[in-house]
Amino acid sequence: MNTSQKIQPILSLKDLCVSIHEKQVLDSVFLDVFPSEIHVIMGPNGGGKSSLSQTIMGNPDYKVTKGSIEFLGDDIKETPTHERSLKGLFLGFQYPVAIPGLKISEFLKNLYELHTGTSLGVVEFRKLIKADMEFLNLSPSILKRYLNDGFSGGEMKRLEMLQLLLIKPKLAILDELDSGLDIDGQRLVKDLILKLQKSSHTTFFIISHYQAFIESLEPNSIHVLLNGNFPHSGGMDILSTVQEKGYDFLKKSSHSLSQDNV
Amino acid sequence: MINELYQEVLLDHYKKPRFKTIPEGYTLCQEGENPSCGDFIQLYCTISKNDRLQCHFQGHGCSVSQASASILCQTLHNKPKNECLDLLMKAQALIKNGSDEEDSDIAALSGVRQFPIRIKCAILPWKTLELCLSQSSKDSSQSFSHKPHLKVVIS
Repeated sequence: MNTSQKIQPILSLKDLCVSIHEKQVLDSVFLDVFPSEIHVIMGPNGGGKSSLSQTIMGNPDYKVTKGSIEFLGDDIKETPTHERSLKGLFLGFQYPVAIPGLKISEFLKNLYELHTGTSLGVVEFRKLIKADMEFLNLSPSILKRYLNDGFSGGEMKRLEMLQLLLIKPKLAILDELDSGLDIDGQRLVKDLILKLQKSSHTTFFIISHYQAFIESLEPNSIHVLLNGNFPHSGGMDILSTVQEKGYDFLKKSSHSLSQDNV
Repeated sequence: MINELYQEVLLDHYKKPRFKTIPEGYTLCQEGENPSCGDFIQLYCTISKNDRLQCHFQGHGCSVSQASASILCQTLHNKPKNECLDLLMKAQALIKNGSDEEDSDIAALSGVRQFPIRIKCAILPWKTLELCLSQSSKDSSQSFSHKPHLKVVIS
């Protein structure tokens, strides 16, 4: 605990209020994430989990009405998405977008060159990613296909993981990267997260619904996002409460909590 | 695999040509031309004291010829001259006959065989260098030739 007080948080949300199309989706969120930590966000559908990740990444549809998002000590509220990405933020999409016409090999090479500031030949680059692709069980033939065009759910998520491996961001937000994956795929996500955390000190912000998956990550803390707020944060105990009693129980208890406060 | 790589490697070298400058203090210069396509290149070679070769080029023409020149300069960069002579012949054979190798830019370039008329464009820089080096070996004094004596014309 003492060490975390000295170290600056990599991401700090202060009193963050966000609305989309005039509807408020996040209501005064406070959160500090420290380097190399793993944070898990849980919560019922429509609780604001994806809104939170989209806001941190800078989706222009989400308007920050109050508060700040500090990344590496700077308020990035006004920073455009591509600059946030170059600063070291990464978002693994829940539903990756297909872009017919954009060849994966070119997309990945550009991505790598932009983030590392290097320039590589086509053949050199293929050699570079070969091991990562084998690790993710991705066939080299996908390189000639278009981005996520006609991909199976598993392939899309594996491709998101490949991007993650290529960029090695400082903070990776994984929006339900594990859902839609089979057991082997989920294990792969877990291995990848722990590998990157160890080798590149990547900080993770993980949105997930799966208890076994969350347990295997041994996260630093677990947050439950209810009605655009974090009434519950803590360790593994939250996981078992959710598993046994469901989110409805937490909703009621947080309701009574706020009444108590009044 | 090669067909797919061909386009990508070609465009990469055409858009971002490597070694496309006139270097200072080069020792050999050779022009090459392919009138059927309108390709023109000038190769500048420097042979360093330990007999290693550095090539640069200037030129204009189709993407195949210019990309091929860029690939040549990159592939042979700082290689011993003898090895370069070897590679030179290998590359030409590869471009004409193709290969099973798939992990080099030259191998990717051999995808040009799908378009027989463009093989000449791809060969041009290699033929030019061949002449350039054969002249230099004749001329053991390594005379400083800014102006090309002879021009390679592929027809």
